[in-house]
Amino acid sequence: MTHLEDWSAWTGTWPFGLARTLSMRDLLAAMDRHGIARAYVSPLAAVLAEDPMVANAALAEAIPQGDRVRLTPVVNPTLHGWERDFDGIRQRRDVTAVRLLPTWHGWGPESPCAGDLLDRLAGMGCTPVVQLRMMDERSLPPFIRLPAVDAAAISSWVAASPEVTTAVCGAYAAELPAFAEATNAWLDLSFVESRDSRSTAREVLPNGRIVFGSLMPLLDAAVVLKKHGDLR
Amino acid sequence: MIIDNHIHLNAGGYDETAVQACLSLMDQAGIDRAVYLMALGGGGPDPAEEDIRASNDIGLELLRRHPDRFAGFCYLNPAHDAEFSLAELDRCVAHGPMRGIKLWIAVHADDPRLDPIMRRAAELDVPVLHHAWYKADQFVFNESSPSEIATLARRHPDVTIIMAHLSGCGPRGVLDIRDCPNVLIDTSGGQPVAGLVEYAVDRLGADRVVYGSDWPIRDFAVQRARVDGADLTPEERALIMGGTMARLLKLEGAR
Repeated sequence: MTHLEDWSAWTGTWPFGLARTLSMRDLLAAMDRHGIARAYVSPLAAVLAEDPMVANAALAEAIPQGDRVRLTPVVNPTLHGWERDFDGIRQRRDVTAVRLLPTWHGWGPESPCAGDLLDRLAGMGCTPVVQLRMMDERSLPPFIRLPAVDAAAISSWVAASPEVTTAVCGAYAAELPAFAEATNAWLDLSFVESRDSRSTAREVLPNGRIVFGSLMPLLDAAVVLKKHGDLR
Repeated sequence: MIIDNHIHLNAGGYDETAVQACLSLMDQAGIDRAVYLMALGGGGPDPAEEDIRASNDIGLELLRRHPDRFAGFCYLNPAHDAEFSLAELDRCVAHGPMRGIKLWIAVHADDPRLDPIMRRAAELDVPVLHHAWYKADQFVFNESSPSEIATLARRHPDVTIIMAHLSGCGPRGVLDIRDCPNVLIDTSGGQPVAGLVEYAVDRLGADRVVYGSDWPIRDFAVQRARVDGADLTPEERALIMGGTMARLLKLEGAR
């Protein structure tokens, strides 16, 4: 993985914990510091907003020209008209990946909106990126009660669209085996940790299915990189 | 010297093969010495006396076989009769090689049943490592909050307390112990939240932050990277990565 791509990069402000606000300039500096050649970037504000399109539009304005930072809009497929809004973004910027946050946006693989969503996104030329979690759920404030991540259900849903390569970010080490049979799923290691994180990942996934996701600015990218070691 | 102040082995008796695997990973991560705290899975959150003895027996055997690579803390359950706990302290610390006490989640940290143990810790001049975490939910048994650790620390100002799990305690936990100079925090556990190590050092001073991994739940190298990658001076990093623990463990040459 000499050409390091970050599949879970974010800009903006996260209201919980210490994460500092990350501007586009900050992100580019962090990419230089950590040797990240390309980042698929989404707006943090889109996680908490029911309608993520306002945040997507703002990020579209901030993305520099070139191929180094790829706008990765957040889509909430429960919203009527999300495709129209998404088309509006695509007319302004080239989009090759789309981020989905089922637990934060109140839907799951069993929801009607999930149906052929992955195939439809792939048909638009976009790699779906399923963000399983943003932080340790135990540390969320009491007014936020997210449904538990159902890794097996997500894996089955991804596997049901075998032609669509789907990135899955934020799985715990204990959830990796659920994705072993979903051979079209790429997994990041942002939340994966065990007695020997690299070996744990290798036991479940071939190198070609392990991608880097920093979860900047919530997590320390240098620590996440350490999990990759010679997998890089 | 790099010292990891927070590791475990599995319950079920001493297993040299598992220890060799641990040593191999320690070597890969450049860890010179690790502090064994308790056996995972041995009696659950409220261990019986025989579970406590079995956990400490593993530690004693570990220290007998590998005195240069490990240190050990004596695991206790304050819900037990104080006579048993004090006898176990005599066996493992006063007349044994262990250099501290480990308390987990059997009772809350501000429970008066801790007092006999804390008084004996002061007499023996050994630190007490106590689990702590701030959670919105998913509490496990009688899990302590950092504010309860602070209450304990004020009641026993002559005992050094290591509050475990910086990521779990978070910024609020750091502030809770800020005015308790006898409380340190370890970096073990939780996700590598950006900026948290620097926050703790800024609020507490580097001499009150110690590196720990929580291996095998966590990864030596990954947890070490949290300190290695933090924006710290070499002097601060040296204290966190082993300088302070060498002093607390009374290792030869430590200042």
